[in-house]
Amino acid sequence: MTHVLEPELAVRLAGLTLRANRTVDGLLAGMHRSPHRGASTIFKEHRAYRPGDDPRLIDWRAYARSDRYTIKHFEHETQLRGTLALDISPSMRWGSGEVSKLDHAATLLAALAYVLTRQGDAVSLITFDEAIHDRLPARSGPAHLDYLMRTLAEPAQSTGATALHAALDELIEHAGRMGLVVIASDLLDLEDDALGPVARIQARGHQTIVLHIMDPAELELPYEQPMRFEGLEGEAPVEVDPAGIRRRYGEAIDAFVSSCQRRVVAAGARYLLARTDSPPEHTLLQLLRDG
Amino acid sequence: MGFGLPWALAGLVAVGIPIIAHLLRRQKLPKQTLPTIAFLHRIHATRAARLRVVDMLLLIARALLVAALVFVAAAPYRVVQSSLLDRQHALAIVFDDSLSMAAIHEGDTLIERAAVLSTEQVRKLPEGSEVSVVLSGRPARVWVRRRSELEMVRNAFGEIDTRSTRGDALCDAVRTATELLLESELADRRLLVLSDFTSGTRADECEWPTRGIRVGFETVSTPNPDNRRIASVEVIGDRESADGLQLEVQVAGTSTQAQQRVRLRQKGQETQERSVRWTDDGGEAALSIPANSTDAVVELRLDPDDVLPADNVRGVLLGSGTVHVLLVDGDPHPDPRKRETAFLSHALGVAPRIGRSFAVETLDAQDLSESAIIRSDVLVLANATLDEKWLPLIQRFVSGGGSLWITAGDRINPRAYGSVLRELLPGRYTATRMEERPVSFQSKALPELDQATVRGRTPIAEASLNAVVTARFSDGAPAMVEHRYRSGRVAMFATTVDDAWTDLPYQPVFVPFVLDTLTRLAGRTDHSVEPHEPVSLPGSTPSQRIQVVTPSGRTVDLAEADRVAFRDTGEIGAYRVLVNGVSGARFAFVVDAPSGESDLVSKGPPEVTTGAEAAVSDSAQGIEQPLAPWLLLLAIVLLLTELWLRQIRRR
Repeated sequence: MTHVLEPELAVRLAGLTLRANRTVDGLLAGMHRSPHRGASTIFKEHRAYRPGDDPRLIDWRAYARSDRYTIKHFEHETQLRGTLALDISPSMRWGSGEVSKLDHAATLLAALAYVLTRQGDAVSLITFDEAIHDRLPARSGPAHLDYLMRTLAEPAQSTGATALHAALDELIEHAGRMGLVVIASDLLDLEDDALGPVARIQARGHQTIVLHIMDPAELELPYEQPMRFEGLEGEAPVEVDPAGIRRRYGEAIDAFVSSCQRRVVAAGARYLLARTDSPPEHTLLQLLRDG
Repeated sequence: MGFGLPWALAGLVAVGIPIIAHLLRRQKLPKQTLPTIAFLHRIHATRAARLRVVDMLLLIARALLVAALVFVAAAPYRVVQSSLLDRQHALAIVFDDSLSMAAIHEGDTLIERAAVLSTEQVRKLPEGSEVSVVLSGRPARVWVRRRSELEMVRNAFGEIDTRSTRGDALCDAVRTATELLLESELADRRLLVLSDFTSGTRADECEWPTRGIRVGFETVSTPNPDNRRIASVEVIGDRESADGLQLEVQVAGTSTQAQQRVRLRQKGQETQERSVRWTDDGGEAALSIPANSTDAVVELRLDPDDVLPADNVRGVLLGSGTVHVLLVDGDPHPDPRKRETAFLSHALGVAPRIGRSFAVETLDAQDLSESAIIRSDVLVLANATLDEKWLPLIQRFVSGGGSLWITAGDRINPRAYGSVLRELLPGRYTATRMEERPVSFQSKALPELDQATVRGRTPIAEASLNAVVTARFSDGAPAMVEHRYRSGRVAMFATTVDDAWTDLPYQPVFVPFVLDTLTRLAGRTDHSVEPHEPVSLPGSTPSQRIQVVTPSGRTVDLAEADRVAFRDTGEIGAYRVLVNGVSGARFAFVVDAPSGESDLVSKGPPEVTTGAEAAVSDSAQGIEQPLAPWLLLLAIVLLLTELWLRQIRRR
């Protein structure tokens, strides 16, 4: 992975604005609306003064007109904390073409990191398989972005198969509160509760986006001759005639993808299927437009 | 079970092809990594067991398909056993009743033993079966034709002549039996041959049925083939001489230490006996016949101390030194020197001086008599056209061994000869013509004939297929045409035998020409015939009494209708023909034992190579049923199964 972020892609993404749907809890003011009312330039609402309110927030002009103490609320633009999570399990390192799923996922996350950094948000990165390996704290600035890019380009070596549940549980602790969490993974952890932590992430106030990275060969099984298929994460090999089982395989994959989407959406998060044969910008455009 | 083409079974090695292909295919499966392999496991977990079964069934189907095709190519058949007991079928028995089967073993002839075996075979048949019996003694005869009344068939075996003297016609009998089986509507057909299978049987030369007919053989032979026979008799000397005739007898067969004798019988009476001297080449004996004997035929008998006495008898034709010539003058002249037959008589008159003996009788055509014709050996019609009443007698005369020489002249009526005697003559006389320029003769046998000239002739046309032109004119036209007619000979001469049309009678070559012609014509055919072969008898008149004395001394009076061909020739030995109680030299014939029937050593059943299978014993009886159609059907089913399994595997 020599070019994590293509220059052309960076230019195209420069005009895009990432706006979180939900206010985040951040220390730095930025383009994102803060759930904390206070000093800001964007007026939100008036409300009656209640004891304990900061007297500095009383709108004296409104008091003059209505003879009632009224508190003037402003929405504070605050700094977004973005947490990028990259699945580096062996299955992610596979690709039917020149681009592996890991390459494709890293490209997507790098683009997001670039955009967030450009608007002054802090971006952190973790890589995981059955556990978290790389941990980059939330920072902003070009130096951090460069460090993050290098980590995406050369993530830590995987030590085991994907264990989503454990990795995401650990991610919750890392992500803090009220931020943006982007998880890029093939989700090939077929445990029933593998995506259970997504709901908990959402409950922590995060806006969670799950990028489901899939190779077209995984989705379509385009092989014709009988083959001996071998797994990447210790599965037993199997000899099958793809032509004979393609229909049933397709049904199983569709069910898997649908299941993942259903679980993610049910948890309040966003789900996006990212095929490796689809240009990354298309995925990002879809993400940002719908966001 | 058997195979018509067993070498095709070598193709069974091809069964290994699908197996090897299956193993190679498994070894050379391309490898492919796939992260979602877990889903393949999920699907395959339910399919794997089924796929293993389908794969195994595919492999079995393919191997069986190849094997079935190989078996089809090998033309397999199965033999339905025990069909005699449980299924109706058509059975044709070829029963050898030739002379060799008359050999005696333990008091019974082989024919009697074969009859017992045949009766047992028929007894095993279920009701409704159909039986034919064909006797293979020459000539082959249908003894029982496709009868279902098995009791009648069993009784028929008891009526077969157990002392047969016949030759063998096994192949004819097999052909006839096969035709009878093919006429049957019963599906199971079986041909059973009972024979001693000696060299005389010549079973290897037969055309055996190949499809749809099961062939079985039952050998009925004697374990003691001790047999002797008179192999040959050479007649030496001249009966006119003082020493008479010598008979040199050769005896063939197994030698014996016991003293054995050859006995001479003349006119049914034993007149001499001589002991047989055994040498390395066989036995021999010499007997003599006195000079005063007039017998045309005698009989020799060997002591009947072997297993086949019937072939110990041999008739010997002594023949006559004198040729009886009847010259019929068609143009009689008061001056004997100018008669048509004068030159012939003169030529025959000088014959004794050159060692030939001719008894000449000359008659005018109007004086011709039946008796004169019958007692002659050669009838010469010199420029004579006979009344039609003589023609049937002449035809019988030639059929019975007499010879006819017709010479041309101005009294010849070509139309009369061409219509009535057409079948008898070797050619057809055409219109007489006189030559402006004389022609001469050409003959390879008598080159001197070319010295004679011919001024007139009655040309001969349309020679018969077996005619021989013994002399020609210088222009190539036939001058003398001859052929054999039944037992006799007929010759036609295209010009006169007097000096009317030719100067031949004045040529020195005339005498040898006449003598050679008459000697050739008088050389009667071999009167040695096989048992039961019809014999042509000399012509006779209704007023004459014709009798035949058989070797056993039985005298058979012949009715008029039986005189053309005498058929009661079942005995081996000498037969004398009496005309009004008198036997003549030409009136005798002998019946010899068929060649090859005296060798009693069995060679066993023939090796039948195609379709049928030799079965020496009764235990192998059955019908061959070809299995190729069923195997082909199986192959088609296997092919469809293979296609179906492939479809299942793809689902």
